[in-house]
Amino acid sequence: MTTPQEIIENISELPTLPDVVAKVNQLVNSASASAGDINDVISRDIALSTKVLKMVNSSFYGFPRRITSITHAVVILGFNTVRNLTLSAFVFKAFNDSKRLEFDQKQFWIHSIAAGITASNIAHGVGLSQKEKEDAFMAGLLHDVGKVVMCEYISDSTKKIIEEVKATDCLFYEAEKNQLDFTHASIGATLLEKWNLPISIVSLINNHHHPMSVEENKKMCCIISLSDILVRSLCLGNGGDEKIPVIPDGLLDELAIGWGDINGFMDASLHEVKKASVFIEMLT
Amino acid sequence: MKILKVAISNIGPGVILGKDVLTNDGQVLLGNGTTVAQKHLDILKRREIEEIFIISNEDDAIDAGNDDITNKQEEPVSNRSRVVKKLERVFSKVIDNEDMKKLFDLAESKAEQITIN
Repeated sequence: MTTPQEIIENISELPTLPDVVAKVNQLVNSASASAGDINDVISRDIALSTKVLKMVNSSFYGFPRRITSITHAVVILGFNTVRNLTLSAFVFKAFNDSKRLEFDQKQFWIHSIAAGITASNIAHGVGLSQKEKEDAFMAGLLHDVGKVVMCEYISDSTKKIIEEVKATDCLFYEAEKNQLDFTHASIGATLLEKWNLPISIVSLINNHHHPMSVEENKKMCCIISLSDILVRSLCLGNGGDEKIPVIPDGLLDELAIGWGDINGFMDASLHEVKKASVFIEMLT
Repeated sequence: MKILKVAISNIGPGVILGKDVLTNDGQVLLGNGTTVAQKHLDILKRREIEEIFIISNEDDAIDAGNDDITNKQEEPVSNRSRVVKKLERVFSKVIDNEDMKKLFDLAESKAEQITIN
């Protein structure tokens, strides 16, 4: 039996988290860091600084005045969001040139970005904290990152999975379970763990297909699962298959939401994903 | 008196419509009983409608059946119908689930705002 850990450990050329992103991550997790500290780290990387400022000044955030310094961005957006922006910029760059991706790359990332936006809106809608809202965005954005790793590094197995998806019109996740000892969820989680992302985000990625069976962080896990489903129902991008999983029993009760709320989340997603073009531009 | 199906190119002003002429979206362009004038013929030609039903007193007129004449141009597939078709495909295996049917209905109600690439 092959474990996700063995897969990740055996990929020698797997992108490593750059020092600057690792350092930002570390600062965000420390209690004593200031906006100035984060500025010092990010400003050393001109390309990253430019990308972060481009994202901050995009219509996605919609600030009335132009933000010209990383310190200002950190003060306005908060530590977590800046960490998420630096990480997003890195992940897009790391996997952007994948030649082995078996499905449409742009559509894949639109699906991911849309899931991040939707997860963030649901977290806000059910009254979670600002930090949880930001974690939800990050987890939504990265929930399928394991699929990219699989296409890139275990391409033969992944090709067979895609063949089964096409032949039987099933979910990617179902074909994985038929053919492998692991899934994209566990591969993605293992990668993010290796990159020292907070365990709260790692566990969300790991469990996004079975949120009701987890004990800790169940509400957040339900949010990621629901965001994936809503994004599929709105045909926003494509995560590698043409089907939609059912909403797990009890999920809506766990989040204490009804169909009126879901309707609102769907409208918000349709509206906001259009504004998120800055993220999508980074892919091209 | 019978209803006769004729080509626009074979008639002139003065004939009386035996059936409504409809547009692509089902609107009545010219009503049953209208005496067709040259301006009507011009409109029909512009819309590339090739045949209409007229009232005929001639003995060799045929029974026109129930087909309405509409613009013969093929109607472009609307974004909405493409989206609904895609949604039907996406939901095909889960539509028996009560929640998923509700989700399908919500998504379908937003079909105009959904874009398929």
